[in-house]
Amino acid sequence: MLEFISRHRRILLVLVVPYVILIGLFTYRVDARLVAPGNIQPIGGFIEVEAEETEGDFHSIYVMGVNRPTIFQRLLGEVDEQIKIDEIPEARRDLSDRVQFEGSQIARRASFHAAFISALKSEDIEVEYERYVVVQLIYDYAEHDGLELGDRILTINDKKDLGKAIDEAACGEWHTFEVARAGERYEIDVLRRESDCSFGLTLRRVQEIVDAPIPHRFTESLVGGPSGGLMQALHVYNQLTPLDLTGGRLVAGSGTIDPDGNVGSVGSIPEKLITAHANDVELFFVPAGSNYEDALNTKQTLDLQIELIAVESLSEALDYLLEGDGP
Amino acid sequence: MNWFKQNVKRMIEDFHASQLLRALLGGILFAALSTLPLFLLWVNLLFLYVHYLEWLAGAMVVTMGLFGALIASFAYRILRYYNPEARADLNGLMRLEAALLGAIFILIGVALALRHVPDYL
Repeated sequence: MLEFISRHRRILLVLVVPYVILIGLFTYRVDARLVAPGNIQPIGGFIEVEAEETEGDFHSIYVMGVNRPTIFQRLLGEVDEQIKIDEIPEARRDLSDRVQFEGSQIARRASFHAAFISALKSEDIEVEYERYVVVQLIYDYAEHDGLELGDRILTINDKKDLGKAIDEAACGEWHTFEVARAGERYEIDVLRRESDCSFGLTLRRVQEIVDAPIPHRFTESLVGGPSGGLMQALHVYNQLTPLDLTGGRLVAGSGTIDPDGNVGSVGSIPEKLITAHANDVELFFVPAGSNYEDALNTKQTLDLQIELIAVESLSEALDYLLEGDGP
Repeated sequence: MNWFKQNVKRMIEDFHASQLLRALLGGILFAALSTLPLFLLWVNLLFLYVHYLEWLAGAMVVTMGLFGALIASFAYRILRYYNPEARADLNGLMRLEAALLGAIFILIGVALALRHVPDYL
């Protein structure tokens, strides 16, 4: 092999410089965040409900958020108008890619449960569920002796009222978290650092179905986050009724949901709207308020042929589809 | 079949096991170095142009096939340096192995794509 290399020494030497530059362009990551249009996904692909088997499907939309893109990606962001270049949000600076991915999966699972619960509640079907707090993100600087993502927090310094316990926890000191993980309980010490009085954690209140009268199944996917909640709830509701709420139209949208059916705001609405338009979506549900204003601006600026529906709750979305201009 | 058996026998006679192993490792190394920029290009584009996911996944599968074919191509070039007088039909064997390895890597690529691409569709 060495003989092979030495015989081709001249050409290899000529190639090595552009080769190294090329690899550098494709691998060296710079400090920025890119948000690019993504795709739409039929909710029926990952939430199965054993009920009416209504034909129509609702679609969630995801966008691609690239933290610390490569030089090549950053250059593409400069020339492609559809790619937005941002600073990395402060909250994401000290998060590894793995933690961000797993954190988004925790949010997605919680969203599935909230969507299912809220849809069943809308049909006055009783569903038993519990709410609790889990560790969603652990920042690189967090000092702890064994906390893991998804750990369910039972007490902090023996206090069950977690909000109060956090308020009372002194900065610059270690505090004891009692957590549940895979059926076992652990006591884990976590430092609340002096400099900014932070634990280096993001905690998330999630919900989990304990018992439901309708058989259902959630499927894992690589796309994470809670922003498909509203569409997931509409899909579940659609499966509970014989009527197809979509009326044969391509319906998509974005917005979180809680177990009571309240719709919460989401990020990257312009990119989601562009994605929806590129996929011929006809109706686009969007959380009322600033998200709706962003969507309206984008629609007008780019002259997108798409109908926007601003909602604050699942019931408003259902009212629109069942009564208003719905099918 | 006779051609194949005869050439495999000659290969065993013409080269030491260590030469065959080094040629294989060298083939993998040079094929990886040759196709790495292409793989990286597709991965870079994949995160920004999900709308073209199927095309980009297809390009990655083709690149995997190219990787497989290049392993054979480089490995046999190295073998020729070890023994320029080899009686085995190195060109014929190289073409056969390139086609086989290319096909195997394409199949692996298709399996990987079928497993992961639907997550984004």
